[in-house]
Amino acid sequence: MFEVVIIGAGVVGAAIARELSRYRISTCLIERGSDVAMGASKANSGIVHAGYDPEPGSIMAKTNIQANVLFEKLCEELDVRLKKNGSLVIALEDKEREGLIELYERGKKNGSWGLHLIDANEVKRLEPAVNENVIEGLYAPNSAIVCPYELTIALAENAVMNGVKIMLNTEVKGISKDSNGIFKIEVLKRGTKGVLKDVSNVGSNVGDGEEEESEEAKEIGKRLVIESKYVINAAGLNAGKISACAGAEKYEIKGRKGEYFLLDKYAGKIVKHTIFGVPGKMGKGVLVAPTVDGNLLVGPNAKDVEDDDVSTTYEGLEEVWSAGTKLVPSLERKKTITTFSGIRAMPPERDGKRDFIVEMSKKLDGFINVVGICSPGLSASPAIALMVVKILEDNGCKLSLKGSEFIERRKSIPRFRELSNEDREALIRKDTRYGRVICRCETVTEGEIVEALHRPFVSGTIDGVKRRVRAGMGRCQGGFCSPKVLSIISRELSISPLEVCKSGLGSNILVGETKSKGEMSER
Amino acid sequence: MNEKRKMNEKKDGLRRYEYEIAVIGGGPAGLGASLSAWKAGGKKIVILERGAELGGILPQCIHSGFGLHYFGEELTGPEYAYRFISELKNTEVEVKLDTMVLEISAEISGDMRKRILCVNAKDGIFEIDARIIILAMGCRERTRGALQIPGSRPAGVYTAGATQRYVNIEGYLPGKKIFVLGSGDIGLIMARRLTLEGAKVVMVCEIMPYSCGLNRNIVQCVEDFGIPLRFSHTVTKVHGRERVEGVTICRVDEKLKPIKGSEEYIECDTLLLSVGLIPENELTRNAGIMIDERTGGPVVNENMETSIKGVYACGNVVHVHDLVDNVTKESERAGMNAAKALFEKVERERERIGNVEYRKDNKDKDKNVEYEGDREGKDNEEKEDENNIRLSAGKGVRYTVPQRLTNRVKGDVEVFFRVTEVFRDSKIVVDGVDGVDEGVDEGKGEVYVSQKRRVMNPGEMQSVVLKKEVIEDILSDGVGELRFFIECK
Repeated sequence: MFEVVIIGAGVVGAAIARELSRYRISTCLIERGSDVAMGASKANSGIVHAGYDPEPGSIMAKTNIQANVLFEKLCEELDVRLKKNGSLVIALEDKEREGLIELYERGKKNGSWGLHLIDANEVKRLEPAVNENVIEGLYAPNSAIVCPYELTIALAENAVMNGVKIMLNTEVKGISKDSNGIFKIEVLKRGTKGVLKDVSNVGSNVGDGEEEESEEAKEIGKRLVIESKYVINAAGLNAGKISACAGAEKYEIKGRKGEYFLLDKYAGKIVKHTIFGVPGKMGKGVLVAPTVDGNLLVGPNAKDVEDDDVSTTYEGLEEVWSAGTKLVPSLERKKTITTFSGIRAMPPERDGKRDFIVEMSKKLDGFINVVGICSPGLSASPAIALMVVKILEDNGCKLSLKGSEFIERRKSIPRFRELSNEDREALIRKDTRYGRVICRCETVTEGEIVEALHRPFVSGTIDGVKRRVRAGMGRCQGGFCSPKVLSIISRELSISPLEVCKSGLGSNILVGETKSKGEMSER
Repeated sequence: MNEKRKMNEKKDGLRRYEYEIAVIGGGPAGLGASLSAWKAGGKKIVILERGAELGGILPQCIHSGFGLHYFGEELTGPEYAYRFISELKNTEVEVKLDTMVLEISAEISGDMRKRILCVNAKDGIFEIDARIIILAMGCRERTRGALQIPGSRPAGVYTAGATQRYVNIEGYLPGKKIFVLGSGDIGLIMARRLTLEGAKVVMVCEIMPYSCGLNRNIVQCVEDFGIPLRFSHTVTKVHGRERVEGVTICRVDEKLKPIKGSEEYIECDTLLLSVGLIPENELTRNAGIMIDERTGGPVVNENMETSIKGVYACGNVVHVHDLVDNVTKESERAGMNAAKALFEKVERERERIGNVEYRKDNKDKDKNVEYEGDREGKDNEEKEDENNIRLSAGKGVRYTVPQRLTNRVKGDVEVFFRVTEVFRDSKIVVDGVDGVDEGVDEGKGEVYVSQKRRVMNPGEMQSVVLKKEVIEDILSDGVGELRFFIECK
């Protein structure tokens, strides 16, 4: 039995898991996807916001401001890249000036320091590429950029290093509470035979279950029951369903989709700061921002959706592009590497306001809802984790610090392309696989890919590898390297190439062998 | 400054190898260039190849159709590559496989050498110093992301080249019901290959109103297999959560915009993309070599020399070819001219070193003198060989290669170009203008070439030969710009 089960391994679930791993309690992190950060945490702007956007007094404002200060230390401990590049909100028309001043006032009330309004000349001096019709800007030196899945993976890895169990490909099917007040969480752990061999670091020791064929033909799943004293619902877009199925509050969580363009590194230096327009009623609007890897991100728009379909649309992309080029006219669309979209889980309206919900259920004791974590969720996540710990403590969960046992630091996979020649040489001397470049666009070596497949927890998929080491993230989008990455995954995890998936189960890259495959292997 | 830099390099402690000619890439272009450089008397040549074997993409092109022009016989890709690889074995050209070039510095300190930063598992990080660099990195495929095809992002969207590797090298099928977007040659070849492997190719669709691949491939790979082929259509949405389940296609208007109401859903499990190739010029750009945005490759002169002296380029890194035979011919030109330039360079250096030593003896022992001497030499060299005739693409012409002619150009020069649309019974015209009448209407300059062509297709590379006599005229007329354009009936 676990003390705490966290449902959902987005950045919030992972941050909670990592925070809880400081204490002498047993924690399990359950994730439906094949990796952590598979929902909103995978596809967002990657901004650590300065805190001038949220309504003063809201949980959003409080956690955003509190977390902004925590980020530097957190990222340093977890070896996650954080670039304090500052943000600029720019007003292009007179009528937007009012909005700008409102942001400034709100920021001051929230406690975001260093904000100042700057005139057009100053804006142009800071960012020569912005629309020349800019009339005024709000400069926030505390805004930073971070790679959202890099952060989530690092949080989860560190949590696992400190004893948290993580279960990927595991979907919650039902939650009940027995007469002793213990939660019984019924899950289906999905996987092909190969993947189920245990890629996710949790054996079948969690409850007992039998192998059974699930609906989809190729999938095999294990039904398991996991017991815990507390449940933390951090299921993002599905948090409403999870809460309802447990018998706690019924929330209506609406999705708000945002589409993005990711541009080549050649375009990455067009701007240094994160450039926003003045926000409208659908949120902060489209931004133009560099990423920590040196690409350029343009997006998102905001469209309310009924399901979790993350398809991009022709109209949506046009909308984003026109908004992006309004801010930075020199953007070149042909420098696009890829387009994608993510869905924010919008909090339900309560008393006419929308705010994060981070609280103990009033209907189901021991069940903590962390619901409606839209923007600035990434920026607020470390503070949300602290809030959750406090709620657990206030509700009788005995938390005693591990002290020196706690492994505070986590080392990232070496990034060959960012190393000095001396460090590269040293790495190759230790392991010659660091001398073999697999992904030519991002200069990713075999050593890095192998390392990604032997971390505290592993997502043995093409996308899992891509998010950890960037193989396939560059301008050829895996055209050259994905066959090689596929064979490395197959070799390192001892699974058939036919079992290697792009991302989720059923996303197999290959469907069969060629007629002459037999002859080929005989050679 | 130079002194300081040298010391830093020492501290760096990187292994360094010296060569006369370094060829980056061991595909057909690299093979052709190194062999011809060797035959022209070049010594100390090295090929740096990132793959595990030579031949570039050829080993996975197991279909035939290679070599018809160059060897006068029909070969498969591996056979074509083997001819060069086996010939290479009889030379002293060195080959470093599994070796990635990370950076090239075209001009290091004052000594006219170029430096290449490389990595491989055996040597680790190391540098290569060479007098001549030949760029032969080839090209890569345009992706779904670059096209910005909307929809979901499931497994089952592959470029034709990646598919070819899975099927022909790894022995796996990436799908059973294939939709091919784009009529690029590899896509057409793969439509046939996958059909032969038992997959169903449901359709080939091309956004342009004409084929982008060779006509022979349309006939032999698509029509002969009864695969439906649609022009002026594109994919507007990808469906499927984990794996592709289908695509929505649309007819497009003249501006290539999808026409509302023409949507059609096609069921498939794979979207195979053959939507264009892009010269791979990251190293080139980073070295500060001038790029022609129309070809995506370096600007070259008739010797296949780039904007930086001593750096040559050939093959698909310069512009995308339809036929490997043409890649080979172009590479041979690059290799031969590189070897020739090397002799001249060595010759010049010999003279210069003589001068420097003379000065050293007579004046002082300050090392700066050496660099000064070098700089003088460099200036002289630049004066000798200027790329002062610009070749420009006018109406109906997308680009030309070469883009420059030097003032020392001699003999026949074949200029390659592509047209922007299908032209029937039209003329390719070349006229020349000097600095004074630049900007006059096309055809109003001195016309040097006017040739009738029955049909010119954007999918097939065209060429026009500027004869020796024409070149002489061009030089004596003091032409600054040669304009290539199409004259319709």
